[in-house]
Amino acid sequence: MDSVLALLLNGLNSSALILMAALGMVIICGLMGVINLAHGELIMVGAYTAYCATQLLGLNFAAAMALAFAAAALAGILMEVLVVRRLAGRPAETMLATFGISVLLQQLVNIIFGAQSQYVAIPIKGNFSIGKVVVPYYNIFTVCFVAAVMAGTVLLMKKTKFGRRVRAITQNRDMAECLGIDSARVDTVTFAFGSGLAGLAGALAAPVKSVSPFMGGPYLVNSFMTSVVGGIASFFGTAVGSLMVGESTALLGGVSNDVTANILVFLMIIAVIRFKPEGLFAKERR
Amino acid sequence: MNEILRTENLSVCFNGFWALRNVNLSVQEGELRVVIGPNGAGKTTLMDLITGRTKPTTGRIVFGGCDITGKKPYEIASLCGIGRKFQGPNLFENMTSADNLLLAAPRLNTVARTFFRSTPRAAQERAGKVLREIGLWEKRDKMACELSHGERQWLEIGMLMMQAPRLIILDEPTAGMTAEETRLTGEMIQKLLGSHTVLVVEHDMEFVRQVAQTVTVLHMGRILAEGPLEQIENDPRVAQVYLKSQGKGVRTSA
Amino acid sequence: MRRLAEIPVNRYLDFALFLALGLFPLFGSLFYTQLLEKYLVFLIFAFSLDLVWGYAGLMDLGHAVLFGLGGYTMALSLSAQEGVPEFMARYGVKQVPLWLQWIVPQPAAVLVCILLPALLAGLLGRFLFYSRVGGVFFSVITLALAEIFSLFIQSQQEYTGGFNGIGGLPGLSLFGHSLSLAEGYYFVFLMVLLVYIFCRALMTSRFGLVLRGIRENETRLEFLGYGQARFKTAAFALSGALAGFAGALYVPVNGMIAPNDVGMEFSTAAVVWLAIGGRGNLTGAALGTLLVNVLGNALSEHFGAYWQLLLGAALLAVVLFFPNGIVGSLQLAVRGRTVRKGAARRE
Repeated sequence: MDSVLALLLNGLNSSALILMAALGMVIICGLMGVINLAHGELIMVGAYTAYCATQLLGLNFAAAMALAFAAAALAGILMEVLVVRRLAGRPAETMLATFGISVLLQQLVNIIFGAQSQYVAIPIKGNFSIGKVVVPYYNIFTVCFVAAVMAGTVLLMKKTKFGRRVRAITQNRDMAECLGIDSARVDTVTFAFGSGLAGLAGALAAPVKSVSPFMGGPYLVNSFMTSVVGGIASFFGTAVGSLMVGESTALLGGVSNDVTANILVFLMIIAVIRFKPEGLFAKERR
Repeated sequence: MNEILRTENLSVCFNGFWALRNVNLSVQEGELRVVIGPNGAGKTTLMDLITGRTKPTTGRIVFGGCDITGKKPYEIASLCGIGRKFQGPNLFENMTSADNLLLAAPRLNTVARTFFRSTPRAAQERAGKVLREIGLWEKRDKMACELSHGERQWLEIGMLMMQAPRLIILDEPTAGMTAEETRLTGEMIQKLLGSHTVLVVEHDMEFVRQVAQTVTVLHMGRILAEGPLEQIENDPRVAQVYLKSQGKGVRTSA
Repeated sequence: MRRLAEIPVNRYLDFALFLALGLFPLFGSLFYTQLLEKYLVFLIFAFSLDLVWGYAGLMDLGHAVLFGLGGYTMALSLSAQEGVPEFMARYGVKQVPLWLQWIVPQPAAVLVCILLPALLAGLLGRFLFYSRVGGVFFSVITLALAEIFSLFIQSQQEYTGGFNGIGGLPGLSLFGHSLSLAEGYYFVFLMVLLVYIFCRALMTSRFGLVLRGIRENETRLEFLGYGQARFKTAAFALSGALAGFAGALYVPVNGMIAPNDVGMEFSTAAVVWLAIGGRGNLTGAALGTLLVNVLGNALSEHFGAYWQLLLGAALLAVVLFFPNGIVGSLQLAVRGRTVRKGAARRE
């Protein structure tokens, strides 16, 4: 019983981390339709910013998170303005270009910091126990923090003027432009926001996961899988998707290894696509 | 005359909106039928249904005696021989004019018939003939994207000639054209006639007068009127919903 | 009607490339001959990717999975020639498993190397293309597949050697006679030539015409009566067979195989070769593969990470400024025209 509880709580924690990593992807891929293969590297940039801020500059973790958001958002702005915008309407080329950027970012960090893993101290130490199950405070913080970011993002997209503009552009770019929305600027800000969220995910994961120049790949794939399972443009769907992925990985990890869980999730995606393709990928065509 | 296409109580519903309701259409072999109607009347939807792009909610589509309801677009195109020209040029841009025509050759469209096989001599020669007919023989090795707007239209019509379908569907063939281009296109379409059955969706009344025999008027997803052109032009209901707006020079594409 | 007097530029390039590759062992050092032998295998892999990406427009970001299926099958077969392989014994495997006994005979192994990836690609195609999943989603799903496949290989330590892979394998041999370096080189060269001729013939046939049609305008093709899913699935399965064959050749040539050769890293590497060389004409695939690998070998020794940095920048530059790659841009220059950007992509 206790072990199941432990697995569930672990799963909740990893779900939160997965959701955090996928949120930026939902915004950039779901709303803007840009598949960003450098998403994992934006997470890596966030993690390294957190490392620099806490270990090298001695700042506290809150400041490190703010800096991580800012650094990744800045990288996002550069990407959008210099590359993504110029390839608008050509998704495959955009994908290739962002892959080029991911290689650039990996190697830049590799050259500056070296290939070895870096260590970030856990900012909130200590833990408490429920029966025999030990729960670190940092996990509680992670889950609460991600829930707050998720709620904030949804509010931003549904309730504010900016969010309405983003959604208007998603629905009909030409019409939105006719109504006086500066779509180029909204694109840049949206991309920056999505990238910033990725950076935040990196900072949040840094104390509990390994920080290295090549850490991005698994995050990228995981984010894709969760957002695809849940419906690429849906925040709620992605939350459900990350819960599914996180919990099934944790629970199956208890009986076999997490590779099996990954494979199962992948098969699930294929099945979802096979039997409900329109539901996830295409809007109903007229 | 033989009936080639019949729709029976065809209806389609998009998220609660009935784009078409109980449409009963009958087209005879060798006929040229024009479908007109204001924006949102369901003209393009009707063409989508016949070519299998959209599945009907209820009703049946019968072509040449067989039920083609719910078949896939490629099955309808290859088995029944329905060819469609889309609104605006829709070509294989980075392929030569010749390759565009070769792709349109009929009955050479399964994996088995293409695998390690070249296009049969007969089809190649026919493509050459069509190229001369549409005046693109000199430009046979130009990419489609290098052609002028008019040439691209002709290439598409050439693809229809190549395909030699039993029924040709033309979706607003003159949209975005100048008066002169419209007239030339009208001539080309009349060339297609005689040997083919043609179903045209059109907005431009000038063009309709140039080519039409029988006209079907769609309005709000229903057939409002059907008959020879003069009768339609004198029908007060049609004038009310459609022809008047044309008189004011309003001309938008659906 | 298509018989034009002119021969496209890329045929001259092909001829020059193959001539150079054929003559190389006569003049080059043993070290470089061995290296080039490996790159020859990569050529087959690049051709197989060009079939799906260059011709049919399906950007497979997990193509190394198909390569890896062939590679690991061959590696297992070679390592089990004399009873239980050492890496299996370490995990307490006492007996050669039954499935492994079947692929110990070399002809059977080669057959499985080709059929297994073709089957996987065919199944994947059956699931994806018939549900109209195309474009970037195909890329995303194949990318995920690559990541998962390499994790899977790493997790099955007792059968795959885990992270370290399977090494210490014998070189090429034919009918029990092991080939010398030069013999091996020319054997691989012959295979590349055959694969090239196969691909060239298929792509100039009507099948290739249809694949290009799919790349240019899938919807239009459907209304001309082509079942696009069938063509895509056939092309993908065929490409899988070729990639598997490349994997099977790679193992004896390289002497080992590791998870790195089957995951995202190698998949995306091949994508970079094609992007730089140019797609949809086989020549670009060949040129890009040789260029990137030869330069990479020369530069990465001294510059390491800077070479990768340069490669990333080169990819970015090619996508932004020469979207058709080296060979494609060359062809356009010869034809004297510019491509209407994005005209081909309409939904």
